[in-house]
Amino acid sequence: MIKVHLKIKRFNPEKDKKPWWGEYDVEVEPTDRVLDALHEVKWNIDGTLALRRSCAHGVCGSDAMRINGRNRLACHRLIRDEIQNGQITIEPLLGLRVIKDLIVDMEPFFAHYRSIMPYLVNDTDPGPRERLQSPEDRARFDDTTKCILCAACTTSCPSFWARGEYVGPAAIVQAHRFIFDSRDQGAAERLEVLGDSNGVWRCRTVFNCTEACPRGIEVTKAIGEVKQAIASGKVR
Amino acid sequence: MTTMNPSAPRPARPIPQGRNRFERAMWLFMRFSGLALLFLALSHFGFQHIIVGTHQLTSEDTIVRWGLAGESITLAQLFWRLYYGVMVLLAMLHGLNGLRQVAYDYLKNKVVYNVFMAAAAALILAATALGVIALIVGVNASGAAEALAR
Repeated sequence: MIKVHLKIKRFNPEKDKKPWWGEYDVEVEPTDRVLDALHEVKWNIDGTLALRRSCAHGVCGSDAMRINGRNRLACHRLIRDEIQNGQITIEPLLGLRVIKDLIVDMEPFFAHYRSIMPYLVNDTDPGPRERLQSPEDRARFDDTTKCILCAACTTSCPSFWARGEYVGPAAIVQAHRFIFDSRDQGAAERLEVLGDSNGVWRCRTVFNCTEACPRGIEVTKAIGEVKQAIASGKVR
Repeated sequence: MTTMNPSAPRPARPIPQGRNRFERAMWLFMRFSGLALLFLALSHFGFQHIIVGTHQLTSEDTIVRWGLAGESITLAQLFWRLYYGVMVLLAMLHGLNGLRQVAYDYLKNKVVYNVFMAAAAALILAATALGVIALIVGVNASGAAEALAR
């Protein structure tokens, strides 16, 4: 067991005028996850700490937060990898309104997600069986199928921080997953959204999104491919 | 029954363009003008400071290269006027669009943004026009004579 000093940004809009730092000392294993340290605080030290988590195994994408200044999943990072001089700093995601402590309002994020129509669009009759696709066609958009909508990418993007109207990396990744799917026919409507002034052109290729993605998706590359599709008028 | 042929090349599917084509045009402009400026600025630097040489550089070189106002010009002088004309035009418009992006980030109020961009565009376009006119007309003869006399 090691001692970890947790510095957590707290904010309760019903009580606090501005955010403050809550400091807690916990004893955890170096191989524990940051989420375990947060549980230790919530369950044994201060039950008023609010955080969002569900599966706790890097699949549901609920517990994305800023850990030592970088967007990470708390269930994905081990104490031994994050501890710096005995301390770990944890803040809520940037660019979204804080509801309480580490919980942010995800609605603007999901509104952008819905705007790109994240479902297969194809009105033709598939016949008596499923729509077929070659392994190559499936591989074309494999990377972007990994997205778990944790918002780590979108809330690490300076363009999104500056302008919440920007559709954001996550929505573009989700759009990429369908635009480059040979079975999909909804590219025109999606590119109507992504070709707009708050679409892909807001991206300045900062690469924060790629760095932040807990699933290792090459987000900036996917955005680049969507830009290229719009610029050339062709989906390859 | 449809058969799968994994080795078949995937044909490029055409995609229709959205209604808003301005941002796409601006994005392409930034890429191409950026590339062009890289070449123009570096070759300008190479010519001025390496071929001519930083310490040999005088206004006489410029006068010889551009030609005097009102006089007929040679093909080489026409080339240099076009070269710098294109450089001034691209640099100023490239900068104006960059400024637009920054202003869009920071000026959340639409009226403030529009007023700022109108003023910025007017100033930058006026400065660009001045630069291009100076290049088209050529070096002022009396000014040049003074410069040569010095």
